[in-house]
Amino acid sequence: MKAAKFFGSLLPLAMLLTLYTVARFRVDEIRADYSYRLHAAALPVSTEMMKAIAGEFKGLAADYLLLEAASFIGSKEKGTPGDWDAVARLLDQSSSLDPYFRSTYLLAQANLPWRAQKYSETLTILERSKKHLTWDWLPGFFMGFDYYFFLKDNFRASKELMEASKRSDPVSSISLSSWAARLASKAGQVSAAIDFLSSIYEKTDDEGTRDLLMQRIMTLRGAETLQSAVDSFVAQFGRMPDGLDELVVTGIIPVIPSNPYGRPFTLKDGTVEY
Amino acid sequence: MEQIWLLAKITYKEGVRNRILLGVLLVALLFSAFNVIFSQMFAHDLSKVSVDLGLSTVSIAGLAVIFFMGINLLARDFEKRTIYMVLSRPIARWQYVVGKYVGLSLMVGTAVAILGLFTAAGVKTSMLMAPNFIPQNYSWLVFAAAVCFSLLSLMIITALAQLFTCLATSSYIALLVTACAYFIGQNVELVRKTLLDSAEVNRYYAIMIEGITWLFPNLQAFDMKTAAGYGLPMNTVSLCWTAVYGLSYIAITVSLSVFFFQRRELT
Amino acid sequence: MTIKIEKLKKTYRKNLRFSKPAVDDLTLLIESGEAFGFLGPNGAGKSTVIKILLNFIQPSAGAATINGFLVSNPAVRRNVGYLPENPYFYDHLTAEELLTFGGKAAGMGKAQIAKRIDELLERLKLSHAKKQRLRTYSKGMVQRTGLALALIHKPQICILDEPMSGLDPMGRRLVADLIVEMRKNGQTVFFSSHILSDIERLCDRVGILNRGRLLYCGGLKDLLPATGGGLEQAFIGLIEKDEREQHGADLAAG
Repeated sequence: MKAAKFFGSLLPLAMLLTLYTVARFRVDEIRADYSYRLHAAALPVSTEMMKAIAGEFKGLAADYLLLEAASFIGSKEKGTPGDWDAVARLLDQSSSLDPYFRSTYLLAQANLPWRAQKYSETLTILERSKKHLTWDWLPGFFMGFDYYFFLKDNFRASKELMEASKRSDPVSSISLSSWAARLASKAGQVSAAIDFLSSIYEKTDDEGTRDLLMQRIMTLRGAETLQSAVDSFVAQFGRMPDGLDELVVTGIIPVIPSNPYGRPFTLKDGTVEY
Repeated sequence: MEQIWLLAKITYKEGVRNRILLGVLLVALLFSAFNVIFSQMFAHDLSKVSVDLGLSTVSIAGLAVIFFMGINLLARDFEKRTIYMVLSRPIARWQYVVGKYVGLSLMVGTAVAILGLFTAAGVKTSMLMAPNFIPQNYSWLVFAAAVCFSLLSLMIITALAQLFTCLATSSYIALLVTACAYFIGQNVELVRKTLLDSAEVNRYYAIMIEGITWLFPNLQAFDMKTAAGYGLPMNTVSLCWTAVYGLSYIAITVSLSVFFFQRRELT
Repeated sequence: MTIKIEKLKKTYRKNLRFSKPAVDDLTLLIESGEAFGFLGPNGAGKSTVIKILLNFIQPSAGAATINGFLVSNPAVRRNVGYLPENPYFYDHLTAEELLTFGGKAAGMGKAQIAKRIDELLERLKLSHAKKQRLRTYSKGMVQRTGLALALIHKPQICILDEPMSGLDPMGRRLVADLIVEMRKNGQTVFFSSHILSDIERLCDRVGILNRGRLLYCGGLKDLLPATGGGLEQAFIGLIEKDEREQHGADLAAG
C-alpha cells in the first residue's frame, strides 16, 4: 500500500524530470540559435545617465557591462560593425563607471583596435585608466603602442612611452625610455620599433594578434637588414644604389627579404620604405 | 480539484484586495504615461525604446507584486497561523500548496494582464506620435507572446518563492533567497556562455556552473523584449519548447514544495 | 469511540537537540456525544495534543485516530470543526466569504451554506458585520467568527482550543450556550481551557494534563469529592502533588 503510493508519486515525478531535461536541452539549442542574442547590445545612454542609474552599485554595473562585452568577444562571432559599436560602448560605459578596473582596458586594448579598428575609442578608455591608475604604466605603454602602430604618430607615441617609463619599475623603465627616445629620432626608429613590438608580442596571448605583430616585426627586420645593406653600399661605392636589386648584384646581401604585407620594399632617397 | 480551486479563490481575493497591489498598479500606470514622454527623447528606434520600457514595466511590477505581496501572503500563513483555518478543513497538504500557488499565479496574472494592456496603449500612443519609427515587421502578436513569457518567468519565480517559504522559517530569509534565485536565473546563461567560450577554466568550477544552470531556471530564455521591440520573427516550435521548459520547471518546483511542506511541523 | 489517542508522545526539536517531551505517553478516549474538557496549566501540552489531532504536527510516537481513521487522512476532517487558540484569518475577506469557503471545503451546497451562515451569524450576533472585511473586526468578533467557521458544516466533532479566551462575559455566555446545544444534538465537543468555571459548567468528563502527562481522566463528579471543595481546589491539589513528585524525581535524578 505504502510502496504503491510511493511509486505512484515517483512515476509522474520521473516523467516531469525527463520532460524538464529534454526541454532544457532543446532550450539550450534554441538559445544558441537565436542570432539576435549573439549580437552585443548596449543601452543608448550617456555615461552620466549610466552613473545616475547605477547609483551605489557602480562597481557591480561596471562588472556586468564588462561581462556583457566579454561574452560577445568570447563568442568568436565575427560581428557586424554595429556589434563592435556596442562592444566599444559597453567597455566605455564600464570604464567610466569604474575607471580603476584593469580588466576593462586590457580587454579593450586586446580587441577594439585589432578587430574593429576602433582606435580613438581605445585611446579614450586607456587615457581614463591612465589618469586613475597612477601607479600603472601599462595604459600609457599601450597608448604609445597604439599611436605608433595604428595611428603612425611616432611623436605622440614617444611622448606616451616617456611618461609610462616614469611610472614603471626600473628594469622596464630603461627600455621604455630608450624606445621613446629612439622612436622620436628618425635614425633609431626601426630597431626601436622591433624591440618595442617584440615586448608587446611577449605580452600577447591572442593568436591572431600575435600573427599580426609577427608580420610587422618581420617587415621591420627586413627593412632593418636592407637599410644596413644600403649603408654598407654607400660606404663601399661612395654613392647611392640605384635600386634594391643592386644590393644583391654587388653581393652585399644574398636575397631581398620578402615583405609579409605583400608590397615589395622600395628605396627612396637612401631610405628603405615598407 | 474543487478544494484547490476554493483555496486559489480565497488566496486571489485576499491578494487582490490588498492595497499594495493598487500601489503597484498605480506606479505602473505612471510608468506607462512616462513611457510616452521618455520614448520621444530618443532620436531613433523610439518605438523599440517604448516597447522595451513597457515590457520592463510589466516585469518590474510583476516582480514587485511577488516580492512585496506574494511572499508576504505565503509567509503570513505560517507566521500568523492563518494556515490552521485552511488545514483544519478536509484539505490535503498538497492541495494547499497547489491551491495557494494557483491563487498567487492568478494574482500575478491579473497584474500582468492589466499592465500589459496599459503598456500596449502606451506603445500605441508612441507609435501614433512617431509613425516613422515603427519597425517594419512590428507585430502585436510578438508583443503578446512577450507578455505571456514574461508572465511565465514570473510564475517560475512565484514557484521558487513558495518553495523557499516552505523551507525557511522567516519570510525575510525567503525573500532574500528568492531575490538571489532571480538574479542567478537572469545571469546564468551569460556566465555559462562566457565560461564555455574561454579556453582555460577550472574543471570543477565549470561543473559547478553547469550544475547551477540545472538547478536555477534560465530566465533569459523567457525574455523576449528585444524580439518584441523589433518585431523579430519567432519560431513556434522554439516557443513551445521554451514554454514546456518553464512549465516543467514550475511543476517540479511545486512538487518539491509539496514534498517539504508535507514534512513541515505547523507549530 | 470518536477520538482515540494511544501512547502519544511528542518531542520538539530545539537547535538539533531534543528537549523534554511536550506530551509523554498519553492515552485518551473520547466517546461520541460527550463534552470533554481538557485542563492543564500553561505549557502543559494541551495545544500540542490538539495540533496532533488536526495533523498540524506529527507525533514522535503513538497514534491518534478519529472515527477509526488516522488523523493524517484529510477526509477525517470533514467531520471535524476546529477553533484555533487566538484565531487569525485572511484580513481582506468578509465573514461571509470566509464561512462560504469553510462550507464549500466541507462539501456543502451553495443554498445550504447561505442558510447556515445566516443562522450562525445570527446566533453569534455577527449578522451586522456579515459583509465587512475581517480586518475591521474586534478581537471578540474574530473569535466568534472562528467559532462560526468551526461549526459551519455541523461537524460531528468539535475541537476548540481555548474557545473563551478574548471574549467578554456576553460572548462567553454565547459560546457556552452553543456548547450545551451541541451536546444536546449529540455532537462531540473536545475543548481545552484553563477557565475552570466553564469546564465545571459544561463538561461530562475532564482530562487534566501537567508537563505532558495525564494526571486524571474521568468524570467531573469523581474528581470533586476526592479532595472536597470546588474543581479549582481539586485541580490545584492535583497539579501541586504532581509538581512535588516531579520535583522529587528531578532531585533523585540529579
